[in-house]
Amino acid sequence: MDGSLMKNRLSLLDSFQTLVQPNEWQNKQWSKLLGVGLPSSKHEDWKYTPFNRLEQLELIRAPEQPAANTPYNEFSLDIDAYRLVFVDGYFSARYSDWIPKVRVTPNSALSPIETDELSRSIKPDAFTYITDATASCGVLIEVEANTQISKPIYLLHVNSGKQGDVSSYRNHIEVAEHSEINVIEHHVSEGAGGGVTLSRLTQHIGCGAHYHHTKVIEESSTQHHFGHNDITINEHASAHSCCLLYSGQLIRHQVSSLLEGEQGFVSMDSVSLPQSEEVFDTRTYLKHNAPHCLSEQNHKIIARDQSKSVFDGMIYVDPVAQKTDGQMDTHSLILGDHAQVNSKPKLEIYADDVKCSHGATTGQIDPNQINYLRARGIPKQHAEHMITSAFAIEVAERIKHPALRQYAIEKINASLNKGSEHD
Amino acid sequence: MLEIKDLHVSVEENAILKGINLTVKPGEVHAIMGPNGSGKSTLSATLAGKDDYQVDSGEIIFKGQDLTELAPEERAGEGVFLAFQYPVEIPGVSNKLFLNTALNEIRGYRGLEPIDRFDFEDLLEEKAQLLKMRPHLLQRSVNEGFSGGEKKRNDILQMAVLSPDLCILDETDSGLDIDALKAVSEGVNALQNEQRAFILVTHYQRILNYIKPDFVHVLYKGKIVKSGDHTLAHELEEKGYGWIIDEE
Repeated sequence: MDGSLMKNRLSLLDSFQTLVQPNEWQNKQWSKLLGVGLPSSKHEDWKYTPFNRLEQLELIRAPEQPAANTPYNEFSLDIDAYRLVFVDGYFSARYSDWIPKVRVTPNSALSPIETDELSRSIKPDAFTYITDATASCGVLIEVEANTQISKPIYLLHVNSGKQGDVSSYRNHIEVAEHSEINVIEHHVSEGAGGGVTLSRLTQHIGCGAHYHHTKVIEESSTQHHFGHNDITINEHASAHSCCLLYSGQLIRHQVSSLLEGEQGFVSMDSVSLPQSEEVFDTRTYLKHNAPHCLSEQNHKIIARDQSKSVFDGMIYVDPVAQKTDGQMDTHSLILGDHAQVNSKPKLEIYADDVKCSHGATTGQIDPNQINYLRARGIPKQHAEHMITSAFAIEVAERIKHPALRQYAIEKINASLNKGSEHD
Repeated sequence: MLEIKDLHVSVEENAILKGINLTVKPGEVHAIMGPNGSGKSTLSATLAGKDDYQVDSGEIIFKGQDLTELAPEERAGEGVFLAFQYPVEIPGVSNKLFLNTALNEIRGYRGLEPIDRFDFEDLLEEKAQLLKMRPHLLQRSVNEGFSGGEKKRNDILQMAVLSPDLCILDETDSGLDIDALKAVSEGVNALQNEQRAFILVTHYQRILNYIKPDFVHVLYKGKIVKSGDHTLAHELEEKGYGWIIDEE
């Protein structure tokens, strides 16, 4: 990347620099950022990510506060789960559940070598470096081998959401071989002053392990959320990831996956429901780095009002990854006259015996579908809601955990109902 | 039940129907036949209230009410049902949810409470058996990945569940092989009763071998040019439409 890109972002860069944590590893991440610079709006991958509001903020680190001072219970999902509570990224052991066969260690207790090993990025970019350099807290969650945890592990992240408050955190999950867990990552903002969430979660899925992950971004309408999750999948392991982008002024979220061993499986899905002037940018990067792996992606966007959204996905197939089967689909519904959707599915294939494809559609509701439902007695508005909600729910239906699936479906319906009240 | 008086309809300012008169009484089966472009599908779409079909003059009185004043969903509420020539696929909406929603909307329109969940299950099972629908099709998305015959049968299943008074079948026989045609016809026959009337819109006489009409009307250039009993259909089968058109 081009260092000159930095110029017009200097003040933003200065703001972030004040947040860099004083240790060697994090300083190194900051140097890496300085090497690539903050991307300008002319940069292909960043031209739909508006920084203007972010640049106006005076950024400070959200001060550490006891979880008891925040109404975390009000934000908590009503799901039977092992809950871990984080306030602005700071883990509250006191208000979190103990999980059998799982060890939770604060990042501060890890050696620089361990940190380096855990924190290797699959596809680093400016914001992975910023988050890595500024993350003030986080934990390592280790699941023992041959363990099945029936209840989901629920990471509740309450961010202060005060103007200029930066909540920067980085967590790791290690699933040892032949274990199976279900993780919910939930991000909410307590205030609506216009804060910034920088969030990273790296996940290592051991041989033959099965991992289910749902990320729910439900920030305030003034919050910026930059998230980047990494999933490394070893042989005979599987990972299912689903991201639900419900609310936030600007959300830029990437999932990067690495299929590292034979017979691995990964699915990366997302539902993005921007409205009013929200900007939601969903990204995936998937590297097939071993033979005989399977990947599936299903991304849905429903763009309302004046919202802007992006889907950008890349499947990279390494020469060793013969017999790869990769499918990436992205479908968008544009409901607002001034809404915008930009979809960019990409394939880079360097192996010759692979099956890879992508499909992208963007459009409005088919009037023939509405007519069909109306002819059966269903009024127009209800018919539109049925079709739109079915469009998004198709992705949520793939969530394995029943209560979580039900929650996701209810949230989608609630979001779409909220939208139709504007009409 | 239905009285169409001097109906003129245009589509994108082209006059298609030019003075249709038709009276349908409860329990009757009417077949509307005619060559391509005669206005058959326009007639069924107009009855169902599809957008873009402009009623220029005339009336459609259904059970004493002017249908042209009603939205498509209100017509369904009044008891009008159109089986489509090309049933639409609706991904993500399960057939069962769709039927349940439609039934409850229609019940709501009539001032009735929503149907009890278990009663609905029973009703659906009974009707699916009547139409020999494979049960898994009820769980699938509406018409998605259905064969041509399954789509048409699914429309008839909707008819059975919603229990309308006037059923209009728009070229239901088109694209069906003989087995599918038989199955669909059996379904329709099973739904015939003294209160319910049918209008079969068809190009070919073939479906009339299975569903016997009381009246056959020939539509040509937007008008009904000849009416008769079911023997008229056989005559058309033998001689084609030419002799009627020549008479004009």
